[in-house]
Amino acid sequence: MEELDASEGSAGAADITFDEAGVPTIKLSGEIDMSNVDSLRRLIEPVVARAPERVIFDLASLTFMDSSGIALLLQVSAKTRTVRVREPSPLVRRMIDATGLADVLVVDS
Amino acid sequence: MARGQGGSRVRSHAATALVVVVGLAVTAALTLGARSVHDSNEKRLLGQRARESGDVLSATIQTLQAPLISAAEVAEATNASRPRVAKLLAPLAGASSLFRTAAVWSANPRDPRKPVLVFGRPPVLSQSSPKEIRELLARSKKSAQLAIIPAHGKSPQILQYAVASSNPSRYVVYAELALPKPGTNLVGNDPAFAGLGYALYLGSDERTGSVLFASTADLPLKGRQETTTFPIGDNRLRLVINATSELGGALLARLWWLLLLAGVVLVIGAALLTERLVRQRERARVLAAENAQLYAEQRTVAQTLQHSLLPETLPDTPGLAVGARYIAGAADVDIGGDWYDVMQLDNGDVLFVVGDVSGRGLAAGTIMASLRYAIRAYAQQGDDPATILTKLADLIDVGDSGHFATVLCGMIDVQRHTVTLANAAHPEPLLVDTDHAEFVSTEVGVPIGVEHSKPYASVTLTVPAASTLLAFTDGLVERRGEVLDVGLARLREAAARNHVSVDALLLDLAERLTPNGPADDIAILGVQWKS
Repeated sequence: MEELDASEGSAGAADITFDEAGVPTIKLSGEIDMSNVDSLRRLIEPVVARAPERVIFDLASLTFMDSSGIALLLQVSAKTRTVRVREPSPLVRRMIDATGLADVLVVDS
Repeated sequence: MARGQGGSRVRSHAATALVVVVGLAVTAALTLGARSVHDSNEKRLLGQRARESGDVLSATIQTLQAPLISAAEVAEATNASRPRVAKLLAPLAGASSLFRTAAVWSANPRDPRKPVLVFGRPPVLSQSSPKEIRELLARSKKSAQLAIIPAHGKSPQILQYAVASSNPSRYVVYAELALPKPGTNLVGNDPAFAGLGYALYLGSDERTGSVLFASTADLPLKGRQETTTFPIGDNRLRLVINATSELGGALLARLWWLLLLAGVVLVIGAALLTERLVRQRERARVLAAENAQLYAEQRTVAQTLQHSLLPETLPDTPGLAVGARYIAGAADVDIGGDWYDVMQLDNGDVLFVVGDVSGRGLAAGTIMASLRYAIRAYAQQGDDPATILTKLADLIDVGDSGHFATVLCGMIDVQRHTVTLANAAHPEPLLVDTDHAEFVSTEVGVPIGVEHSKPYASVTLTVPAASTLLAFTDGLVERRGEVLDVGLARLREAAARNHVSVDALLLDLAERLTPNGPADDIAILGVQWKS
């Protein structure tokens, strides 16, 4: 279990857990933008490096994300077969839809 | 810079000087206060000691006077019987006794030089003139007489005392005491005189000639002193004491020194600290100013680079009025990934592009430039918008670079009033009529950089005369904490006003939607059909 509060820029955090099958769930919370996406990316990188079949993003506590956040999701998506996005807020959901990502990411509302 | 440092030196010295002045003032006040307390305490203690030592002296004088007065009574009663008087006077007079001589004189003698009875040494008084002796005897009948006979040759000063019985006064008892030299210790270790200097004078004036006893030959006494006087016969004794050491103790005496020393040390410390703090602050201020300058420079560099990556001028496109604006985000010092482009193709069609590479910085700028020039190349080859986007998808990979791009690509057939649009995850364009605006529905594909099997598709729409197609990047409509649709509605409303030209429309939108400058970069492109 790792956690990070970006000390600079916006307050965003990533909390990573694994279920019995070894599927990682990355719980993003707060806000993600250009100011903190790099530190979050560094946290997530070791998970992606193991090339898991599936990665689950829990976005229930994510209040805002800009295109940097989308890039983060897409970067993980490019290296795994399935990226599942759980409980995005309407705001984040609209962002995902506007960028045509509903086809690329599996979104559970 | 040198001037600024000079100014800072003056400022820091002013602050330090203030600290020094205030610190010294406080120290001075404390020191004076301590001194004042010490002084009043010493004065009070000395006054107390003066009363004590006066009491001791007064009692001593009473003790000395008593046998002489008694002797006068006895002489009167016994007609100067030698054995009776001797019982009182003999022990008092002689070489090892207090008085060098004690004598009984007839109050009205035939020969004044001859006393009736003498104990101890012959009286010095006998050497005086008969007249002087008679006068002394006459005065002593009224009250006890105390006087000094000045020294003659080697003999010391003599204190004489003469007293007569009150009534009748036929006899006068007389005693002489050789005065010790000033400085002779007469009080021993009497605690009443510990730490004190003293001088006992006869009479009310302080001439050294009338001094009887003193603790020092260096008269008058120096420093803080107290005086008590008390009557004896028709004369007065005057006791002056001074403190030879600190009566209140050494600590209290040194307290003001300690305060002064501590105060000065503290002031110096505070001054040094102030000097250091002021200098640190000044350095921080200079550093902040330099940082602000660097920031401004970096921002200028970024903006210059940004503009070099955007078209310098828009091509002349017959039948169309084309306008574009690029507005840098408020606090950005890096190159943004937003861009627009317009090109006139050989077949007369006009290609326009508005795109946005995610992220900022040199990497985003480089991707933006490569996408922009790739699109130009594909368009020159005759590729349609959907094909262009599909080919672009091979150029970048979000998995490797962490960047993706949204692109809206449109091909305009000026004569036929149509536009063919392909969209890679970009905000849909707005079609603005004279007083009406509507978003154009496109086939939204995935962003460029995201691997996807589905190829991009295009839509073609017919554009009414005099209407304007407005393409933009998300910075124009996006607000943090706001659903995208709210910003889109805001844009639609702002655009649906009657605008005289494309440039007027773009300017108005920029001012209306981002009155304080945008948070993120914005690229806007407007294409108006002239007829």
